[in-house]
Amino acid sequence: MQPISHQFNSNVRKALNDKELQKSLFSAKDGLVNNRLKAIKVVSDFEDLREQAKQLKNHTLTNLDSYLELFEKNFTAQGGQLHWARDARHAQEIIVGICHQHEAKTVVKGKSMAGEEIDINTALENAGIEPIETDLGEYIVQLAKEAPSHIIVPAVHKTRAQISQLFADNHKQYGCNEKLTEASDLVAEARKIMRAKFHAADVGITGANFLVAETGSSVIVTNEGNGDLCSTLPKVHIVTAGIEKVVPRLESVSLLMKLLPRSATGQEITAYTTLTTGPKRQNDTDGPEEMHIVLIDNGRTEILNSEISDILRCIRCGACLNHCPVYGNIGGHAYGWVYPGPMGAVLTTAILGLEEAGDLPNACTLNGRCASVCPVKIPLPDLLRSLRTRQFNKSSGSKITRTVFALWGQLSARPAIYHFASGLAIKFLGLLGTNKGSFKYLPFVGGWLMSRDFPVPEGETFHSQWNKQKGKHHG
Amino acid sequence: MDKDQSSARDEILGRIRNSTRTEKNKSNIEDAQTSMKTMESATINFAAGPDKFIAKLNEVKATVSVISSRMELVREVHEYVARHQEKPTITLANEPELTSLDWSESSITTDYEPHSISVSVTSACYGIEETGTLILYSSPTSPTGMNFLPDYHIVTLDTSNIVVSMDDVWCGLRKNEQAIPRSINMITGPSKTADIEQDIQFGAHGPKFLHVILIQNT
Repeated sequence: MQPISHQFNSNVRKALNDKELQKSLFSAKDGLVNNRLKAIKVVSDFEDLREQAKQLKNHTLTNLDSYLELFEKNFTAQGGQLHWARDARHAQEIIVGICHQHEAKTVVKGKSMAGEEIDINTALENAGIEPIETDLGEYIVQLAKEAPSHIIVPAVHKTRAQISQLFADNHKQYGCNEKLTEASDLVAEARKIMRAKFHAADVGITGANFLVAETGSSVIVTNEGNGDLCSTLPKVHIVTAGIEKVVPRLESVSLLMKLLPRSATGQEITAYTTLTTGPKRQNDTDGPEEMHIVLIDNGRTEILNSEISDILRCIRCGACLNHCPVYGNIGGHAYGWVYPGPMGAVLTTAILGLEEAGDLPNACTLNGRCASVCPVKIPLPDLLRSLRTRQFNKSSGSKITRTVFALWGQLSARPAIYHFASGLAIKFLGLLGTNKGSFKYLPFVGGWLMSRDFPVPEGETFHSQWNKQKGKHHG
Repeated sequence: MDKDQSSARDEILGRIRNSTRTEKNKSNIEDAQTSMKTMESATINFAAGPDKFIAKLNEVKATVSVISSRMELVREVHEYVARHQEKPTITLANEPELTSLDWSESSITTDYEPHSISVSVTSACYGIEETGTLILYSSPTSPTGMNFLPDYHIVTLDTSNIVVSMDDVWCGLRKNEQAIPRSINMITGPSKTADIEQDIQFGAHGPKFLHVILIQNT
């Protein structure tokens, strides 16, 4: 999709005024958070596992070149074909090329954030090939001509009534004329329609949760089983994966699998976790004749060489989205591209640049919940702060803001002057607001005061009160 | 690899090697791997008994029955199927331990037919007690589609092959001299989705029902 992160402010206003969206966000709010809590309670050493996962991911990133080469060696030894894509457009060309080679008309797709990132659906459509999303949530947003609004629950913003209407509008062509309203009936109808598409498709495209260097395997983690049908039934299977998906060994998978489903949906494990190693073997009765993996850079090597490289540890569980008060109020679409929430604010800005996405790192209260739940301990608020610094250094933002923050920065580096100046300011505001209780307007911060009042200070700073108290207790 | 591909590969690997985060002067990848080797278990830890595994299977909405010998398998499959469907054709994995049994009471086939398969019987090589997970390897006699296409998936497992954790499966895989199977399916309960208002529904795309038959061999 064309990113609309640059119009973040108007996206947010739209989201806050969208009653159906607010209803969906409200009903989804606590479920995933509570499920996660329940699922991590049964693990006695969850904190220890997070630390191990962080170390594992750091180790892999510092040796990324070697592990990618090892993966290449083992995957190609099993008959797989590996492709290296510099960016989104390059990845599109490679995939469309493979589809053309096999004269593909339809492609069934499993859920893949890398696939969303390279916008493979648009490229396929432009090449006259029909992409069919098979994950139920992805299918729903495809029917609605929207993008997923959550990396784990793509249609979390849709109500059952909206889905019912979408199915009624789109399923007549398959002879389904009855408008269904129950979730079980909607699922059954999608299953029936999709089954025929699985059998007819020429190519299957899935993502990968992990690529195992030791064996050359790609791993997908799902609940519906659609990803496995995509990788088993069509004669060609293509995997799209970022270069950071590689892990050293099979044991890396078991470690990360203790964290991923628990952090994502609060499951101890998903219904299906599948390791696929190369195409159909001799004498096999099913499986694709060709298996391709497209390794995508698309800015990742640049991120690796920057102050925000920790984001490459991300295993796409969505826990930071579920625990973010900003995401919880505006949903995923407001972020304007593929990755929403805290990890999205970092990745979108890193991949698309400050000019497109510079507002996203500012849409954060730095409350730290995201970092405290991240299964690979990514310091998300720190990374967002780094991006704010990057923005500041690049001289973007308004002149007034820049001057004020530059002064404040100078001041706060000198505690004595800072305390003196803030003491003066507090006294002045206190005098100005005597008998008032609170300010409804102050110069320079009019926007901030639009939705809240500023209480009149009681004449002293926290620091001076603290020092006085200390004096009392010790004196 | 064509010219553009090999240059893309070299560019990407070159950028990684030049990045500040990449460890410089490492001797070889085996060294890097050795540091991760501590997690590898040397022996397979088998479960003390099937109870925890059964409890986990129930939690994930698989059904379970326990039989005391393989001789009872035909009757058990027959009874399970009769409870759910009227005289369906049962597709068996084409493995001697299944096909050598006397199936004359049921309508069976070993011809895997992806378009019409409705009940399948396949065998798992391991079960993981920690999560109630079944491990199935693909092979010429056990195509992957048999685990995903039918409405009813029946899986047999010897109780002696219930292991403690996923790491034990990898240990078993390493002890096995053969190449890693094309497809390793780790299955935990029937297919499900919560994509409509977080309301869990079974049988999204894979089997609607998963029935596990544990064969006790002491």
